[in-house]
Order: sequence, then C-alpha cells, then structure tokens
Amino acid sequence: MTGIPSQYYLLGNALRNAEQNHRVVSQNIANVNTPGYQTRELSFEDYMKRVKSGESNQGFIDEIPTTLVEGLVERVDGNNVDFDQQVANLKKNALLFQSWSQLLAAKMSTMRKAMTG
Amino acid sequence: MSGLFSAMDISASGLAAERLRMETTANNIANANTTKTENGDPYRRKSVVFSSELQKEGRYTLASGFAGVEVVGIESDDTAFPMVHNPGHPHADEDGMVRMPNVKIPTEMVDMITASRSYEANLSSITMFQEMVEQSLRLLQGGS
Repeated sequence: MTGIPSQYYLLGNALRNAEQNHRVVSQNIANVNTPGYQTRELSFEDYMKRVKSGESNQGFIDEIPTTLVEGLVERVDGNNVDFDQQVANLKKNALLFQSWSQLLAAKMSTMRKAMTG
Repeated sequence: MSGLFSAMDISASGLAAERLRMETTANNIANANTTKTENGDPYRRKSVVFSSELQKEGRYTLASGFAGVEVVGIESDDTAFPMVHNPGHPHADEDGMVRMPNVKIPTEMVDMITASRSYEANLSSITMFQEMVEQSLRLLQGGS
C-alpha cells in the first residue's frame, strides 16, 4: 500500500506502539516494590525494523516482545526498577503519543478540507 | 491481561498493592507498643509480599499480556522481640523485663513514604493513560 493510507497506517502503528509502551512502563512502576523484578522495555529497534520492512503497510504490527533492560543498579532484594527514570519514561511516552495523535489529526483535517473544498 | 484498557488494570493492581502495604504499615505503627496479643506474645511486625504476575507466567511478550503486581500474602517478621527493662509494666517478668513488639518506627516510616510515592506514580500512570484515550477519542470526533 502506498500514498495516503500508508501514512495513516504508519501513524496508527506509532500510536499503538506508544500505547503498548505505556503498558510496559506501567508494569515496571506497579512492580517497583516487587522483590526480584527486572525492568522491561519494549524493543523499539525491533519495531522500527518491522516498520521499515513494510510490514506496517499491510496492517498494524502486533505483539512486540519485551526485553530486559541492561546495566541497571540492582537493589538488595533483586529489584532493579529505577523509579524516577520510569516516571520520566511515562511522561515522555505520553508526549510522544500526543505528537503522533496531533499529526494524525492534522492529516485528517487536510483530507477533510480537500474533500469539502 | 489484555484488552483495550489493560494499562489501567496494570496500574490499578499497583494502587491496590500499595494501599495494602500502607494499611499494613499503619497497623504496625498502631501496634508498636502492643505487648500482649491473642497468643500471648507481643505484636509481631507484618509485611506484605509482592509478586509480579509476569514472572509467574514466565512469558515476556506483550502477547501474553501484563497483569501488574499481585499480593501473595502478608508475612510476619520473625526477628526477636526486644527486651526492655520496665518493672512497673503489667506484662513484666520476674526480672522486670518486658518483651516489646519488633516494630521499628523508622523502618515503618520509610515503608510508608515509599508506598505513598509508588501509589502516586501508579495514579499518574492512570491519569496519563486517560489523557491518551481522550486524545484518541478526539480523533474520532474529527477534532484537533
């Protein structure tokens, strides 16, 4: 698929990715006091690779695997969630979502203008 | 856990867990001077044990879904009761020593603060998700 619909798919995928990332970060925050819990993240590189390969043009990309975050300081109870970092990640992700959504809205309104004249 | 609003369920499980931890801490502080309980011993400090729902399943993709945090139980602290010399106390033994609860107020205060901070973070996660959903809904309305 090319042209305007592909852009919608791309932005839609980006929104979806932000939503999934929100879930992963929420999981990290919910488990900030769970002994032995290891911080996870969505592998964005894997996601981008799949977008580049054109998979997103066929539809939405589902089920991205999460990976363990390396190089974090572990507490005595085996938990390595960096609380402040996760809260910042959450906010960053929300802003990213806002950006994608605004872009999508702008695209839609342009299209509407073209249709209504 | 999956579905449209699973992000909210994840954070909600965090809220519930932290609230329980807060209640346990409050109970510990309230009983910091209880020298006699039903079984005759002084009050034993309780602590909440958390477990990640994810670890239990042992799968790590979004396909299996996240389920937040789960409270597996409330355990008693088995450390020894401190002995305090207080002959005037009704529960003092022949030597005038009283077995006190093994609650340490500074530990409880730290626990309380971390619980309250984690609670706030889970709450802000829910608020952010709500904003994201509202934004998506505005897209449907054809707004900005």
